[in-house]
Amino acid sequence: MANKKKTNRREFLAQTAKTASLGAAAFQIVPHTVFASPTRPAPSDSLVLGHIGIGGRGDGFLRPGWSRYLCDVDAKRLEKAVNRVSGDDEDLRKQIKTFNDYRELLDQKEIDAVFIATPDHWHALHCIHACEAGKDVYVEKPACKTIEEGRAMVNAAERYARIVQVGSQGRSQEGAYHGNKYIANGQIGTVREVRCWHYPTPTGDWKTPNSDPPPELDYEKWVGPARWIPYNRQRTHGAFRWMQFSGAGQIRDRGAHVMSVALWVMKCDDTGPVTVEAHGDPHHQGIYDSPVFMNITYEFKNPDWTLIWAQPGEPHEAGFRWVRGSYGANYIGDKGNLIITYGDTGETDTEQKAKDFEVPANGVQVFHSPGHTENFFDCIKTREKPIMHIEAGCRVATLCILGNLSYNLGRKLEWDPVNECVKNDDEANRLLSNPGRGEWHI
Amino acid sequence: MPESFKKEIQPFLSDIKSGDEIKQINAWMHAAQMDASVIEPLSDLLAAKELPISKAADEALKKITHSVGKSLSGDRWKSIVDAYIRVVEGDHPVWSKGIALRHLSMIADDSAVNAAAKYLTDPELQEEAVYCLERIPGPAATKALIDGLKKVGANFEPRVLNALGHRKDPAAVEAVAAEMGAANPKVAIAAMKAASRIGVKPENEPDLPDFESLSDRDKAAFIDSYLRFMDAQGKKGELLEDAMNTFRGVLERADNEHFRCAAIVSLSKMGGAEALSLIQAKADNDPSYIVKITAQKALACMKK
Repeated sequence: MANKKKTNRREFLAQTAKTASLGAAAFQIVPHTVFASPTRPAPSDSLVLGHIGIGGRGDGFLRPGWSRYLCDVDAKRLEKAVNRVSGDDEDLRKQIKTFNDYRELLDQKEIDAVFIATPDHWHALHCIHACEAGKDVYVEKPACKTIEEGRAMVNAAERYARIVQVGSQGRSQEGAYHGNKYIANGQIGTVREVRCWHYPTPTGDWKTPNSDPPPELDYEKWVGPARWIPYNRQRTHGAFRWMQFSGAGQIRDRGAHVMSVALWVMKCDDTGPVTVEAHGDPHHQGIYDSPVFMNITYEFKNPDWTLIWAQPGEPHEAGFRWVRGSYGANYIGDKGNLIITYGDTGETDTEQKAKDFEVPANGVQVFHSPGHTENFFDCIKTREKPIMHIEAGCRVATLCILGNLSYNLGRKLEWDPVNECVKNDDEANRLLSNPGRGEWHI
Repeated sequence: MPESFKKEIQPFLSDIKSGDEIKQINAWMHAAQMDASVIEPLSDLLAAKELPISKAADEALKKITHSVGKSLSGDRWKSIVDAYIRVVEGDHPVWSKGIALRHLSMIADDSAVNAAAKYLTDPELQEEAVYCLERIPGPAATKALIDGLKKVGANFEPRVLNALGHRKDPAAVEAVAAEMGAANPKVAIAAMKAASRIGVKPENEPDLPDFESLSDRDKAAFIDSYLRFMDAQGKKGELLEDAMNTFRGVLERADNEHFRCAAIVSLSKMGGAEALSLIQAKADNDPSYIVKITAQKALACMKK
């Protein structure tokens, strides 16, 4: 529709200076939380949820009765999600609205919060646009693909005062809580090294050729802001994790969990390393291009400590669980060490000595999360920062991004965590951002 | 690494094209030392139907590009940039040209701008051309994008505007501002977004799209762009009265609470007695508990 009338800046300012209810008729439906007082929760204990990306991970966020707006670019996944949420309840089914285009979902005024469980290359745009649409956001980890994306997500959340929780749920697990509590109270002394271990990235094969996408998949929207790449079943949906254009390996898929706990324990949610050096071995066959084996050393300053991410690294038998073939981190202090295994699921665990430790009266208290989504829902009401707020999430993602960058460039990087740039490396700095594609850009 | 690779391209390319995985990996893992003349034949192999070959070629090119990326200077770097420009300009598959443009975006200087700009109007390659120009620093790339604005057609013009906004080059602000009054709302809103990201006031007062006629989504983009622009001016201590008027006006919006929250956040950064008073009023009287809490938090920060 062409605009026939134009305005200039001064006229617009004059209009907005008056009390106005612009297009009020278009906004009859307001979130039920609007009319609550600041000192008590919203009148209703329920929220209206929207979901963007309802594959393997996104399916787990669905809540019958709450999840009323669903978006996926795969029509089969969308139908499956509708069935999951509504079951045999036809009345409930009629309440559910489905979308192929996430922007149309975000247009829905009734939605209080959205869960974003799309491939990594979509996280930033979905999160930023959700904030700009006034929604609180739960976005899966890792938060972002580039440093620029991460900063844009933090800025959007701050500008609109939105609650944004990143789905590195390790901090909300009992094992991580006990481990952090133990270390925070000096039980292993000053921690100088955290050694993470994780089994290698899966390898692929050459059996699947490029082809046309299946009819139920809107592949153009699946690729979205990433660089165009022909469709191949082996790099779509869950397998996005092993391709650098969309996911980029175990360091992002699980590193964002294990290292999230490490940054939390080391109280480094607002800083980063000063050097990053990665070495790795690529796939010998198949279309995946993320490193199979990897070893990355991150040096932090003030305080000085070293973080190591290793695939496979040194799996540990900690006396309480045989963890070979699994993943976790060994926290090494000057008075001892502590292992925290996993760092994502409810299987996250730590040693009995940490579980038995009780914080003394004058000790350091560590936030004990009621659960990752529970914490998110609580913060929607209280407007406090959640345990894995977007700034922290982006700092964790920065480790993943820089690790892969050092591996790809084949050189050590000197990182400025304050200005978020690489020192003395022109190409690396260009790669801290990635222009969008088509209409998909931050 | 085999000594022969340093001099002879054919054994290297034979290994890349072989069906032997070990030979292919050994070849591309050591591609960083190959002469730039290998870039054109490698680029052609990107379009190979056999996935192992195209992947090996792709990985080899990355090694070559990254080997000169740290300082972006010197003879070897120049020879590699020139080789990619030859791929873009020469008789090579479209897919190969697109990948060459991506490599140029990582390491090229002004010398690649003309080669990329030629494809701004080519439907098959214009997206890769914009991508390349968006990343190459310096005034030449900005100028090429500005010159392209009126050549690419209304469907692609928003993409070029986005690239100019992303570059944040003040030299583009006049050209971008001129599009803010475009009849096509997609172009006008893209121009507003770009201008807000550049954050510099244009010399000539721009026309704005008719707010009332915009879709809800475009209205939100309009307000977001306005808030960003005023935040940028406030940071520089410029247009303070206009910024205050904007934030005050947005505070009075009854529709979306998150706009009122954004105005509160912006006012808290400006500081001052009037900002304090406006925010206090929201802390006391706003019907949204979210706005009230945001205002209370802002007041607490301002009083520190």
